[in-house]
Amino acid sequence: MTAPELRPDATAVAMAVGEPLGSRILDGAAVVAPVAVPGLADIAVWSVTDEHGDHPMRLYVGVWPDGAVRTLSADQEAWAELVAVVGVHLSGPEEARAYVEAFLEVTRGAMVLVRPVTSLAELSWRPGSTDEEAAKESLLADPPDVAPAVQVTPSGFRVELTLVVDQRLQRNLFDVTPEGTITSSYRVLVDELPLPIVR
Amino acid sequence: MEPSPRHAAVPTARPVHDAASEMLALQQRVGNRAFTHAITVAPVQRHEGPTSNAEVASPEAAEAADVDAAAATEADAAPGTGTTGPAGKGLNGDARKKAVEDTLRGSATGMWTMGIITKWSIPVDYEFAGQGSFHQDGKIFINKALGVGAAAIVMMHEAQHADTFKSGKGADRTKLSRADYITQKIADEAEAVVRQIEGLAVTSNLGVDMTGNPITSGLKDRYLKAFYLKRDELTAANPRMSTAEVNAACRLSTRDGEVTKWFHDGTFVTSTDNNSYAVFYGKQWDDVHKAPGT
Repeated sequence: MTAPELRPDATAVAMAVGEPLGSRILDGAAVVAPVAVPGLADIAVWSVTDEHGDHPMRLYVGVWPDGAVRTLSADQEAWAELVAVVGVHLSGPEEARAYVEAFLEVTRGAMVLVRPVTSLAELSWRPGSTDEEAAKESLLADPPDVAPAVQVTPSGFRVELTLVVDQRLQRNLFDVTPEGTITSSYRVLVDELPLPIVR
Repeated sequence: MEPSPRHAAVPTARPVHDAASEMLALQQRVGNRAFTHAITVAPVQRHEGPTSNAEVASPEAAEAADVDAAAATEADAAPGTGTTGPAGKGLNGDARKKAVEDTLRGSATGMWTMGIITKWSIPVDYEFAGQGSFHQDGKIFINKALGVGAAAIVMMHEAQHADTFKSGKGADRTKLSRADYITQKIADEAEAVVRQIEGLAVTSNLGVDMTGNPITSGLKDRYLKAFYLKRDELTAANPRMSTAEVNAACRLSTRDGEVTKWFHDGTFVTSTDNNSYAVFYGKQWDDVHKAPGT
């Protein structure tokens, strides 16, 4: 439970996310909640969620020590600047993996479905077109190794994750320093799969 | 299975353009006579119901697709995470507004959209910097990350919601039963999706930037499959039905069948918890009708 005095200033959060979500914060309709990030000692990331409209909305914001607030959704540079200021300490590979997963969720595009998977059995399928069903069949007939892998490296940690990103499956590689600096790359495994579509 | 190499950027079907600047540049380059010929042969939606790609496909489009396919095999792992979403490029301010509106005027569905905007004097934010694109309380927000063509497609969807709202026909969760609320919300969504599909083929063949287009080829294929199945059924049962009657019946059948299913069967999910919209609207109703203190 976060103490009330630690909550970010509502007006500053509203200004950061802009209208119309900003007004929803000020009138109490949107929920501002703390987000725990592994490796961060204090809460510096908050979610802003409004579920009253035709489509639910959620954005993530970062709160700087001086009270400044910036949107982190779809802004990985802002994340990097935030963690450099507030400080991160990753003590082991599993914490590094959890840190990367938090980074992915917080910085994903707000309308992008991003979900780490550890096996193909975790995929949620929807009915697809003929081409999409063929892509699914091909994937399942010759499945890639999607298990996560984490190892200690001279500079920190190397994390490999398989992600669902909208209609594609991709393998992402992250080199993470103990201070939380991330260098990343990815390869698309399969595209245009019959996976859920975010609206 | 070996992963297929891929370029870093989120793939787009063709180079980034915008309608207004493209038209102006073309006119300056080739002169008025050739320009008039060029725009005369541009695709136009001439009938009710969906337009197939085959009706508007051009050799240039096919060539561009081949080039893109070849380029996609050239690179290995891409830098970054590929998780922050597409970013359309091009115009800002009044130039973007004009380009989107010019694009809308290229299709019958787009013209309907412009009619709704004008009829109800709907304010439109063409460069919304927040999450997604949506209609809210009589105003339309179009995300700035959308390419001009995708913005036009999204406008077709949101204009449907704006028209429902302005007409006083919006589903009221405080007055309707739970089932009726879900049904009415999804019915309006389904109609909005159908309008997008109907405008898609013509819009995407105008050569405008389709970055962020919400209607995937898979969705369009599913729509057309259901549409043509119904068409064949109707024409076999009653060969004297006019084409207009058949198209109208197929549209309704596909909207109320196939497209409506997408909001129940996990095809469309929310961005927050990945629930279906049937679940999401049900929760909205429950929140309003829950007992005090629960």
